[in-house]
Amino acid sequence: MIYLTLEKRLHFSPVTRISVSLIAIAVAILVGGIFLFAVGVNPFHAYGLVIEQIFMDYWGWQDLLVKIIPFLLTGIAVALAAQMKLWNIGAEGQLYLGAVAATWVALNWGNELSIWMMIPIMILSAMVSGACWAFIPGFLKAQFGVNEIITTLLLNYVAISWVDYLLYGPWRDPGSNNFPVTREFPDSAQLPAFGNTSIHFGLIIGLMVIFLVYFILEKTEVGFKVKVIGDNIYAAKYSGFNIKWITLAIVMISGALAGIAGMAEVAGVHYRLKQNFSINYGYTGIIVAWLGRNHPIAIIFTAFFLAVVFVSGELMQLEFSLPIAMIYLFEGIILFSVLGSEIFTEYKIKIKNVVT
Amino acid sequence: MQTSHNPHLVLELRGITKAFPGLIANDRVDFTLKQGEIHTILGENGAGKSTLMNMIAGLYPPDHGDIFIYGKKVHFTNPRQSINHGIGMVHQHFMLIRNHTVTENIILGTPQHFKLNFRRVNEEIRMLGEKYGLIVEPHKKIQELSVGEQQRVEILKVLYRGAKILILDEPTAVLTPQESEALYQIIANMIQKDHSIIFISHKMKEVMSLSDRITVLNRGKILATFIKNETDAQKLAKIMMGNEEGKELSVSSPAPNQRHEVVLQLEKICANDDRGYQILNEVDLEIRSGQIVGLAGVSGNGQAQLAEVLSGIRPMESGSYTYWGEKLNAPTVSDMIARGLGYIPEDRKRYGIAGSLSIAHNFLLRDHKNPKFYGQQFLDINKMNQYARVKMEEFDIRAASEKTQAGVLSGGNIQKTILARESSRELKFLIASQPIRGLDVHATAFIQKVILQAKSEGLAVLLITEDLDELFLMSDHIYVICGGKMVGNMPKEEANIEQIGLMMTGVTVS
Repeated sequence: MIYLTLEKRLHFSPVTRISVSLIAIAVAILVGGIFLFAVGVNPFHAYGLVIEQIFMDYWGWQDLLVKIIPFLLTGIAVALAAQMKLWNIGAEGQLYLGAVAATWVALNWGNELSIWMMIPIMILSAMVSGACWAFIPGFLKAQFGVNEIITTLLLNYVAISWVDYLLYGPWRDPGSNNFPVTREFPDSAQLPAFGNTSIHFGLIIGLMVIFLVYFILEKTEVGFKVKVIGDNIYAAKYSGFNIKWITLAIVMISGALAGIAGMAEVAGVHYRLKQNFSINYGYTGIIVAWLGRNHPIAIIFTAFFLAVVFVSGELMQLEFSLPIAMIYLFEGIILFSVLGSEIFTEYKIKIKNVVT
Repeated sequence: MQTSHNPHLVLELRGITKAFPGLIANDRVDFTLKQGEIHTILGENGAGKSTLMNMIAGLYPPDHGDIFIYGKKVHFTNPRQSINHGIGMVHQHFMLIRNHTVTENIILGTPQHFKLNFRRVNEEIRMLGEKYGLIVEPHKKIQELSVGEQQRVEILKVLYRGAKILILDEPTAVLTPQESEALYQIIANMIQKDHSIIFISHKMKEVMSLSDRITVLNRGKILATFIKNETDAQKLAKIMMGNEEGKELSVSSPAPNQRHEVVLQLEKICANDDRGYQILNEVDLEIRSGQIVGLAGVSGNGQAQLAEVLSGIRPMESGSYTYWGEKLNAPTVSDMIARGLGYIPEDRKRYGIAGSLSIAHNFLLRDHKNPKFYGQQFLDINKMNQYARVKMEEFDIRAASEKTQAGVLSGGNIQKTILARESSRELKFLIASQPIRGLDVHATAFIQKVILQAKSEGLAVLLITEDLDELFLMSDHIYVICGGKMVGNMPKEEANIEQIGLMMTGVTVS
């Protein structure tokens, strides 16, 4: 009788991890192709178009490098918390709140301060705002053990409703023909771009944040504590770590990083706060972090990959008039295949032939 | 080779080989069990005893080799087939559902009528229990039973399924001396009633008194099989270690250091458990420098919580805690580490290490502020690795490298890692909770030697143990805890094992 068994791997090599992730992506592309076929699009044509119009195209690369920015930031935000086994599903809401704070600064002080003052203040206010929003689930988790998955998720809806209120109410631009958008930011509140491109300064901020988080995790006492708490909370107690404080701090920092993502979008892309300016960037951060197994450096690559997915999706929308749901569908397939492949990082398949 | 039709053989294994990735757990093992025999398997941790038993119990099939039961070749692909052939395994860790009754646990998975007749089943179980001296109340819930009673339920479970061949995997590891005595009686009853037993144990004394034959397993291979009367404990221990001289095996406790200053003094300490119920009830304790105080007690009587209070993990509700003459008020873990307290936790895998981090990282636990791990101001991975390599050499911690995940180490190597870490700081007081539980002879001797050496250099030690041999070997002074109260204390010279055993179970000794 021949049957398949799973055998535990004795060595966990990064090569295995990376190749398993790559295979998961390949499977997702394959399954995505089937779905494309199902809605009447030739997948070879579609994927060919992606290569031609995105990877072999100046504007395509520009789009990718703009799109990667929110993913870098929300991805690292989710990954940092996940290092401690805290699931921040609330990056979306924290991102919105970060954008709100940056917008308030831009609209109120923009005409009085120079860009050298404005940008740092906007970043700082977005961080404080995102951190304060994350304080709620962070405090509830640290003090009462309330499940952060639920609180962070539910607070997203509150945050988005808040923004809707502002846009339909006090912050609506009188000259917008009743569109729910704010006034445009003054020049001093707009993130500068590189040369003539639309790639804005947020790219540098995102990469800097990632390397900073990497450094903190690997090289500092607090980073060590975060890793121990994430691995074994009992060992952390035995070592006398202040788990409550660190939990609260990490959730708040995670919120602050997601807040920067919101600031970068409104100040670097739209130059105003508007409805649905985030196309699930916060939720996509979860996929970015997962796909990169919460490793800061890996997140640069997975954020790029998700940027490809989004830009390709926009291309499909234009070319084949497919709905945006196609992007979400594709994201779902990726997440599904990544989670499904998780087992192969720890086990390998063996074919056994047992004579009975 | 013996014939497989020998009517006296109830079980025969021939050339059993089982490999796991990177490890040959059993290598061409031959083994026989005669009718009405107690055949002991002796071996260190990782010698392959459990693998062998699991194959007999049908948990997985061997790669090569044959199993014969009553001369008939069998293939087990699942445990039920093994049970149907009359094999019953009593696991070391109980497989019971705590909030179900004894009866419910016993009949679980056995064929019953659609409408359960509990009165009849209870009666059956009571009769079965009386037959073997396994007395338990069938309608009681498991959580209401003592450890010894729970074990009786486990044995009843396999007997109810009609087991004729019983495998007892370290059955006395969790029992008090009195409960162990009762178990020996039950084993004798079962042999009288024509059962045959494979007995697994580390404890040489009971092995020598119970067994008919003894097989020594080492690194997956059978080294020898003896008839009990043809061998003795020293000889077995030597063979078990792979024919090495037993020089490291025996340790003796040097006399207590004479400059005995009081290191630790507890008066009327009270503390609660995690659910808020009182678990420590006015505990008094005194430990001096250069002294090992042994704290005896059955698990769950407050020793674990006492260690947590002393090390700053658990707050005390009332009482006074004096440490080197200073009265402490709600000390934290960091305070106690700074004051030179080392702590080897009882559950070493759960508390002692962060399993998915490297061994090198694990040396930073409870020591993460130590400048020896840092460059100018940031962690220096080279220094960390370097330090870990030195310690691994010094403490004989066996692993592929210092970058190996601590969680994949064996129990002995984990314990050595913890000991290496705790003892490498400036120690003044060491709490060692069940330091040798589940360790093999080598690791045990090593760890005891390190602790005794530290004591002779003036360290004060609190040794928490259930193992009375260890207690008497190591301690200078003995305390006994029961129900969260200190029920007795005496110098070792005035103590005797029976008396301590009785006190542990709450019998007052005048």
